[in-house]
Amino acid sequence: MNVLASTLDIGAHPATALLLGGLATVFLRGRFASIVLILAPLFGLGYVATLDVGASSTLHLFGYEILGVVVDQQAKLFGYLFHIAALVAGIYSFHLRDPWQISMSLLYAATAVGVAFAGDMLSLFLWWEGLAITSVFQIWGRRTKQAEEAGFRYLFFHVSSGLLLLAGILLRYHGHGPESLSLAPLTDALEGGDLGALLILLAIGIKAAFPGLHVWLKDGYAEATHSGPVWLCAFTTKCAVCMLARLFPGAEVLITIGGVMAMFPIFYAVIENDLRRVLCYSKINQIGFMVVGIGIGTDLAIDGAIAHAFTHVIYKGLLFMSMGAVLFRTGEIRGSHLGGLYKTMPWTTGFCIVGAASISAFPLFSGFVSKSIIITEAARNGHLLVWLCLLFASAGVFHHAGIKIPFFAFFAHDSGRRPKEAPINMLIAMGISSILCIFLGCNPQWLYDLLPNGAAGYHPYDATHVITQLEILLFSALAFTLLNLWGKYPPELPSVNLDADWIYRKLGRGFLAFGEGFWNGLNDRAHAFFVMEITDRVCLFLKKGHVHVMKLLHRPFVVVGLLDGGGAKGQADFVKRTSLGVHPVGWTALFCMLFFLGFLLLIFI
Amino acid sequence: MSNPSDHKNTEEESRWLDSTENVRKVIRWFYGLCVLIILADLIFSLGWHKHAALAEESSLHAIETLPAFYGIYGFFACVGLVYVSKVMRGWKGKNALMRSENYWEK
Repeated sequence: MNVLASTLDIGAHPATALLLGGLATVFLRGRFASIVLILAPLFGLGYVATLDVGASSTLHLFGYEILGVVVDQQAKLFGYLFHIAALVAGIYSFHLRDPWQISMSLLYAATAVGVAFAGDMLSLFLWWEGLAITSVFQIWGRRTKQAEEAGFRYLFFHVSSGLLLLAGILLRYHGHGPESLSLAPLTDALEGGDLGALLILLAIGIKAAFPGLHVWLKDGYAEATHSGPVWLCAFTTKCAVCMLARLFPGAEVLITIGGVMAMFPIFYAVIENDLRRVLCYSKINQIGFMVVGIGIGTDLAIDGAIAHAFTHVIYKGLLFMSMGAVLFRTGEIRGSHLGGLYKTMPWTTGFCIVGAASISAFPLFSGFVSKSIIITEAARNGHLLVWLCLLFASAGVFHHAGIKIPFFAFFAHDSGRRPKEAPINMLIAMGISSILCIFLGCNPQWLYDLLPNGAAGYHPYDATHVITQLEILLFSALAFTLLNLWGKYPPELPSVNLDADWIYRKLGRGFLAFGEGFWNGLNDRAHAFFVMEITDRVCLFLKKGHVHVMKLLHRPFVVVGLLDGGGAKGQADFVKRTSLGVHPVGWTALFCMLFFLGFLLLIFI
Repeated sequence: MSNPSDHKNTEEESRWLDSTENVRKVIRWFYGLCVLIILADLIFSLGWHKHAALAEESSLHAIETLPAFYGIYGFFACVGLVYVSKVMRGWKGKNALMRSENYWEK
């Protein structure tokens, strides 16, 4: 069976265009590389459109059959999404001249497409590891010490995720045999207490930024290059959402996790000064909506989660692009040091506001047509508390991402900065995203038709929805306005806020300090005892022991007068002779005889 | 990327939003919009049947269908959000979660 054989229903792997593009840009330089950055996703997008639902391809390797590609409706939707995201991010990064960043970004997009189309656990694992390794270059590309360290922390989380996934797959393989390698839902196994399923959930949970496992996101993205988060925000977390929807639909625990994810980041976002980090927190909040949708598990709720992932990639990318443009032009991203940029960056301001309106789910913008499905399904299925949390989170996300981001970057107090408008390629990328946001908001049916269940029977534009949504948004804005006018709104302060990363960045350091104190102290003591004390004594014994024994044996003879040398001089002379081993023949014979007599006695006794 | 010429020229023309009068005008329009949406909700609740998001047997069903429920909820959610966030920053002059910018490098 050790033959390499493959069957292909389809011509090539859907990620081929991006993979080839990524490899080509390793060797190309300058504009040529940038052109590939745009052409590769375009070819890939065209190819995904030709794939038939139901097609698959397998690979026989070392007696195993790896289901490399399975095309279903969900995979196709994510395939479109990842190619569109790569295309937009590619246009945005057109001016980049760093070959590492360019080639790795295409390979990163390719691995994401690989995850979306993966047919079994083995191929999933390979692409999953690829995601971790290729993405970190968007952080390291900034080439600062902070970025380098953040990159390693990022890698630590994602490599752990890969290892947990592998451990989960192996546990399940040993427990349940080859059937467990399929990507069939694991919800029942998880709820039945299967350890393998739990590890797989944890692996996906790291990438989906579950509470407590989320810090890599706000840590890594905020240290990335100006274009880095545009790539990063599109793929990693969406691959996790894609896999959650495949493997854990209807898992009750996800409703609670998603509710917490939707809630806690908004508090952080209000007091966070780094505007890209604010976007990171709002990203966790938005993924929380998707996780709740998957947890509810009805066809419509899962459709809502997937639709939300689709719209989210586009509007979150748009917001990260606008903040990236600000960082690119001013070298600054702290809210406390920005303000008044609308005067010289009007287009960026406009695009940012479109992104803000979309993430806030204003009617006619893309967030509205996807987020409302999840909220409605939460209410319909009787999750009252979660429904209240999601409403709170919708108000909160408008408050911090919808208003705070554009307000503190482009309006607020005038920082005196007058940067140039963003470069034309960035404006084109932001323009495409903005058009998509509005297009999807106005024509939700285009998106719904791509969903696995077609969002059957859901109509977002019903008068109750529109009015209640506008009401919640306008009154959130009213709260912002009034608190600002009354001076009660927390000002942007140059600061950082402690999050779960304190555990490993400070407590961990404390643990290291403790370890250093304890183990090094133990080592010092052991050294003092075993090396200094005992060895010293052994050396002393070997050096002086025989002299001492001879002195003890010699003494009685002197006392009874058999031998001379009773005086101090005689003693010293004896000690000297003993240590050098030179005695008169008579003495030596005497002591030998004494030893022999001693041994004789011992034998008879 | 940032250079001194980026900064404000003294003879720069003033923008429409630079005048406090205009900002006030915008805010007044915004208040008007808030009143308008509440009115729309009121008319819609009284005149037509508003779809309830929650099922009839849910404990919040009666409250959710009241006019302006969403507005009031959104408003107080945001006020609560801001106050809790402020407490997260610091409480009675002492830092809770807020640290200086070079905290991680220390």
